[in-house]
Amino acid sequence: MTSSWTLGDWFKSREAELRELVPEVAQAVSSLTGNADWDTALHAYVLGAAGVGKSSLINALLNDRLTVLPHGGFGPQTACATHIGFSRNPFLTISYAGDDRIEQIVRSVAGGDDPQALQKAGLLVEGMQFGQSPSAYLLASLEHARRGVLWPDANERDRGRLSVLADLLAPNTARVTTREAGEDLPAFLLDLQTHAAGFLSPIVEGVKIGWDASILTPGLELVDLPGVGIANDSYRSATSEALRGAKCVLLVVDRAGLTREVADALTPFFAECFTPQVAPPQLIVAVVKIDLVVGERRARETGSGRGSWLDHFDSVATDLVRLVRGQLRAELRRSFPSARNEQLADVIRRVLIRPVAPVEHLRLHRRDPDDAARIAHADDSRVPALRGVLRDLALAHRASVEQELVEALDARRSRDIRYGSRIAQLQEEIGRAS
Amino acid sequence: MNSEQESALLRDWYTATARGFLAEVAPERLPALDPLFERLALREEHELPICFLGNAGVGKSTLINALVAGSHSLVPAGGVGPLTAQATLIRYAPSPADRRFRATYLPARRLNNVLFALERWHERSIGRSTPPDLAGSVEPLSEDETEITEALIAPEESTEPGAPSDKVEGFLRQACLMIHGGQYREHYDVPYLLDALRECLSLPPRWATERTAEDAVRVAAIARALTAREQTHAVGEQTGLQEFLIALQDHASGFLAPIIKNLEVWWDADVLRSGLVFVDLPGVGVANDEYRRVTAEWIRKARAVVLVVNSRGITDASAELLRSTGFLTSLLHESPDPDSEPPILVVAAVQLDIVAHSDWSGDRERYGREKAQPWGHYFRAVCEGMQKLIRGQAKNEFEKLFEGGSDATRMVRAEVLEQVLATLQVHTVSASEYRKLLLADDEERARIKEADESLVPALAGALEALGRAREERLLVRAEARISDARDRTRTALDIVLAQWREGARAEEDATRLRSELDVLAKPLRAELATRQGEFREFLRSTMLERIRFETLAAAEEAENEIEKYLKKFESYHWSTLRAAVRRGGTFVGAKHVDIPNELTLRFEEPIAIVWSRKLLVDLRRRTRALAEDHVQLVGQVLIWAKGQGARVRPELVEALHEDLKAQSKELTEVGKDAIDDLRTRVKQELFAKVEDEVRKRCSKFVTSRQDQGAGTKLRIVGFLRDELRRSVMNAAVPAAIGVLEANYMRVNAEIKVAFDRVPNPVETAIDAIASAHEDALRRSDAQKRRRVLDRGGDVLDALPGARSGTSSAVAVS
Repeated sequence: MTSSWTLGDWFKSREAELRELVPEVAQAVSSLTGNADWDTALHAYVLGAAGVGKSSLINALLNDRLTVLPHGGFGPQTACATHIGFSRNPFLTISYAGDDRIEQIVRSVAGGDDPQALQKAGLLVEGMQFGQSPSAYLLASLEHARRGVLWPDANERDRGRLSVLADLLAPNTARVTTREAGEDLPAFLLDLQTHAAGFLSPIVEGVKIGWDASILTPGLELVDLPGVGIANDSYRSATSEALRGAKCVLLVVDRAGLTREVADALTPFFAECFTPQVAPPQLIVAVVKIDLVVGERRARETGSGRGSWLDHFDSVATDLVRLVRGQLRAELRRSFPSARNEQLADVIRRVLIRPVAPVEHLRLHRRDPDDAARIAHADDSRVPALRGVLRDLALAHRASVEQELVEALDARRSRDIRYGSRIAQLQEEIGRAS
Repeated sequence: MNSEQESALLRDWYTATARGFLAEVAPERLPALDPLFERLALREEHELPICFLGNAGVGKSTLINALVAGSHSLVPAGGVGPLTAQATLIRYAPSPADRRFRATYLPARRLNNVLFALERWHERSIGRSTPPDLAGSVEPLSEDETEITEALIAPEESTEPGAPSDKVEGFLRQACLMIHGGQYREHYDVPYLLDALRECLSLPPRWATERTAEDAVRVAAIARALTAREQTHAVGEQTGLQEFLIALQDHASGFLAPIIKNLEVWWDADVLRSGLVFVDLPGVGVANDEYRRVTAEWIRKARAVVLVVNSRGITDASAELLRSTGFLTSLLHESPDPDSEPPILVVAAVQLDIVAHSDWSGDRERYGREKAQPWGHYFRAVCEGMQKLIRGQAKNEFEKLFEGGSDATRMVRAEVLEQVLATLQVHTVSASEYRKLLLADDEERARIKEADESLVPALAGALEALGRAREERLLVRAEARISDARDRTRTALDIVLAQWREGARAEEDATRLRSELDVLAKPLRAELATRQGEFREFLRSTMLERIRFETLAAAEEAENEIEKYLKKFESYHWSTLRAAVRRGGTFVGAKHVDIPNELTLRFEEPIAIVWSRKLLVDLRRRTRALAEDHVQLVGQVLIWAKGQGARVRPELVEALHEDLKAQSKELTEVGKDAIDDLRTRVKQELFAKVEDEVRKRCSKFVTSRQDQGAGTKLRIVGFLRDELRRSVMNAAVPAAIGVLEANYMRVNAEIKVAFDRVPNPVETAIDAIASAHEDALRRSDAQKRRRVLDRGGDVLDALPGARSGTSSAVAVS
């Protein structure tokens, strides 16, 4: 099992011992990761406007052929982020909120002034957020489920959902479901696509996916944030909470570049960028959907004068990098009017802007004769290069965490010779885990 | 014959033939008839602008191109980064030979200012100052000095001399696009650009650089454009289609784009035939206030909007724009007039092919290529899901408008919400598949086999149908006006001729008839006096009281809404609030604060509802009641007249009776013209008042230094919730009353004009019978009578489009 262990797993498994030996290390590690207790992973928060193509990009980053993340995320009313970390055997874990969340929905539906609550109730009871049933029906169904009983007057077609809900809400129930891929990966993926959250999405509190991807092995965790720009206030606060203290953001934009809403969502992270710290935060901007621009440009050229797809892609990509850089500068100046010029230039210089073609990447590897890729080489999609960027970041991050640990243990050993052999053993384990 | 020709013929007949005759023999008839023909001469607005609204990059332009021009690109799609904040208009051209575009250019001083700012910045960055009398140095020519100063401030603060500020960077990019044809360069050759700009403005060079051949062509074209101020390009014998499209591209997004003020394109697209004009607006959500301003301005006056969305449906940014411009409210505010133009919202979801492709390709990978369904199956499934999603989102957005509000307003709104949702059109299309199919590019094959599969033709058809329905409505209205004018004039002529024919009646009958008529008329006169008195009283004081009362009730509702809105600020950061207060109530930051606009919005709807649902309804009911009283009273005279046998000819009274009936029908729609601009005036006048008040209060608050020191947030929140709310209410209520009163006075005047045509119908009816006898002497001149009757007969014969035997109360023969 040790072979699939990551530094993070090791760190967690030795938590009690390390707390006693080197209590100061928790603080040091957390200033590197931006995470709370004993989590060494580098969280890369994936942010973008709704429908911009975040999930396509994440899929292409994770693997060459498969659809791991469903587009649109886990159910229409999920307000939480999806964490994707390394695991040899893929798994999906969903944790659900308890009765208090249902109570909140019930109260808002009864109050009649929150259309979104009505949609959530509709999803829970009827499996559709814009269903036909009157709110009294939804309320009665939910109230019975909260008491652990199935409402006798509930429609036949809703009974299945309501009994699942009643079971889930029963006291002393572990509200977490985990499914492992095991031998049947296609079945697992199908489950992930269709039944991952479904009608329960309004009460989903956390989604975690384990996946065997090379970019995740150095301890990288992708955190897919809810899309920006579709009405939902709870998304917004969850997003800005997550971005405060983030060490790495992967921003996904299309040809419009940085839009106002996305820039506003990023403000807490920008503030981090201007704060001097041990591990300065990293912003990576991935520009996607470039093929739409390419299509339009090619349409304007006639017959033989039409340039190749790849040439167009390259020239559009170059323009987009400059556009995004200019927009970033303008937005930073607007949000931080008092920042000095060289400070600003410094922050902008460190931003990595990477145009990519995730859809072409998948096409190329799927080798479907009915859906030929427009690129001939894997590198042309620039997805491998973006993977490299993320992997390098994660490796550098892991190296500094490791160094922090080793140094803390060294210091401890020189203070107190008693633990010499145990510390040497721990340090050797760190070496193996990395 | 179309209604326009028909109307022209009728107007010709009136001015050339009928009016002269009436002026001579019955001038008292003209004040009633002239306005009918004046109204006929007014041209109806034939065009209906359709605003395409959507987030930047969603593919508005691609959709417009697909709808209008198939595989051609008229409006710039595939641009990287938006450049100009202008709207492009596409109008109908009857044939390919009429394809053209017209560009109006900005005044040369705008470019001059760019040059000025860039030269100053460059001099500073190379450490050279401008000698005050240097020949050829340009001066800023306009009031845009603030812009220029802004551009120059940043480099001064900079520790790195010569680093361009954002403004300068923007100018450089504009200059680069104009001179080199592309806005992005790794390094700018600033002296080269400066000299090139100078050449565009016909100024002597200062930086000793030479233009390349390619750049020289662009520079010459810019210089030409700046001198011409306006240019039209057409497809013709010299200009091929490809050249035309390139020229258009140069204007819309190419090197000429930075100096464009307006751009209009004419194209032979069936979808535009009925007078639709497509307006390609700057994308929503771009971090640029100028874009938002241009877009909001269009939406504020729009009657039809196509909202373009992607697979996630309606975005916050678009919904916010539709809400804050009042467009959503206008959809809910159903006008009581059946023929007033209803606002239209169509939602078009694009980029669905991307989702369909991802599903399709994913399934083929997962289950094997044989087992997966064909592409079209996935596309249809996505489209079906989108229909539900968008309808749900739209319902949500409308319901957000309902939050709060009194029960009365809520009920009115809920009533129409259902109607609006039922008529809301949602279209799911794939513009890019459609265009791929038409382009037949081997490197990018379309997934669809038939154009219809993309559903673009269906959307085009739906828009076309909207245009046609509107055209038909306009036609019906125009025809109603024509037949109204025709019938009323014929009736007037009939009455006059009948009077002359009566001239043969013997004089001795007159006196006896008079006394009999007096007996008949006495109770009728009394009745009429009472009814008219009541109505005058209603107009003079009841309506004014109603206005006051209803406005105060509406204001109470508005105040609750305002309180709710202002309460929201409690959750805002103090610095946002302070910035807003310091800027007179508006602040575009992380949170958008626009107090004057938001407060006005909360007033506007209750006030408009009060007018159209209560006051106008009342006013029309009472007006109609009086008009019907008139009809009924004259009806009594008519019954009497008909019972008199040969002694009295009832035709005159009958004609009057018909006339009053027509008037009564007409009066049910009184105030129709006033209703459409009431909303606009409520908006404008209230907004001015509210904005002024908010600014005054805010500035007083700031001058008294309450925005500083400990407890600022509490003070601001308190100030907004109490003082500002009270003072805005105090300012807005009289203004609202004023607007409604003014509006009422307009309708009142309209009513007065209508009734003044026949101020006393009883007297007129009695006179019609009696004066026939008294005039008999005057008209007994048989020769003159013959002449008038002959001429009148000729006039009636010449009446265009007269259908024999219709509505003529008096036989002409």
